[in-house]
Amino acid sequence: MDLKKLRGAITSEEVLGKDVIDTNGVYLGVSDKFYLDPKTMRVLGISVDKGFLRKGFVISTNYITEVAKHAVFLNIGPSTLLKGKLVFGINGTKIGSVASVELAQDTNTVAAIIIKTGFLGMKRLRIPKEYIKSKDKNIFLNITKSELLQNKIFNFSGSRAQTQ
Amino acid sequence: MGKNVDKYVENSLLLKETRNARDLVGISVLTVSGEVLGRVKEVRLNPTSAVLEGVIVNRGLFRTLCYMCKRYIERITRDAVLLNIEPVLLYVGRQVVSSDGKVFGNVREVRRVHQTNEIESLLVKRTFFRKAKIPFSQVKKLGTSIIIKKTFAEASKRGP
Repeated sequence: MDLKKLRGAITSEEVLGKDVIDTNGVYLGVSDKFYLDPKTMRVLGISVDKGFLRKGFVISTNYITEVAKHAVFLNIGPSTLLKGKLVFGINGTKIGSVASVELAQDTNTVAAIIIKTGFLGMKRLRIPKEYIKSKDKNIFLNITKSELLQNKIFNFSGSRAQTQ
Repeated sequence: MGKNVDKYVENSLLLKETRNARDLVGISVLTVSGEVLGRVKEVRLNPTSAVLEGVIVNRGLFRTLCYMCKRYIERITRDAVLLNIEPVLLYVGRQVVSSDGKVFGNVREVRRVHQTNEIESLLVKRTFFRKAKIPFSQVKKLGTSIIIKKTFAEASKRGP
């Protein structure tokens, strides 16, 4: 075995059990498992434990920037964290809040967001990504609230692709 | 509006294109990231030109008012005042994390360059008695948490 190659390597102990922090500095959870390719033994990703009764998730190594002494830093902000954020129209009118997020298959790209609006948040609207202007602390759309409510293509029946 | 008003207009907006300043009071003020800063309390005009100079924002009970000059206002719409900045006062209370991922403390105070939105330094509360001053040049990333360039051990060392 070439011992020189091992000098810069890190062990599983240095990755597992550490805090996972996204690009915005949000604490996501604790890394608890490695996923290895059984043939090449290459690390494919880590799973993140979000705590008691909360569903964890798996992050591919492409999204990991650095394994530091006390934490694992990611180069993305997981799109699932959009859930619960407020949604504003182009004029700053509050429309509602994010009920769930539809992701493009196995990536962090948002395909659409489902928002709850109206009386007690009972009405659901599906907003495709083309209508999302920015998503940071809250979400801005590039259409007005009246355009959104008048157009029937945004109505959501609840039977579309799997949402998170 | 304006049926019974005698209008005198030359080289300026028509009456129907203008807006009653009273309607601005109470609307939301949103930062560039979509965070609600507060509600408009007052609209301030230039006393000589009568042009809008800024708005005073009411941030809620027990919080100080803040004044946003027109330079930091992107747009005023029917329902909100949209800012083109993320006011640095929103960083107060946020966690400060070292480059190796350990929590260093919480932001107690943000010191600014004069009255602008530029950060000069952050005063970080570490424990009940210990505080640390982080110059803005040492800040790596501003977000939900503030990530600094130094490691926990380097940042914990007291200055000469």
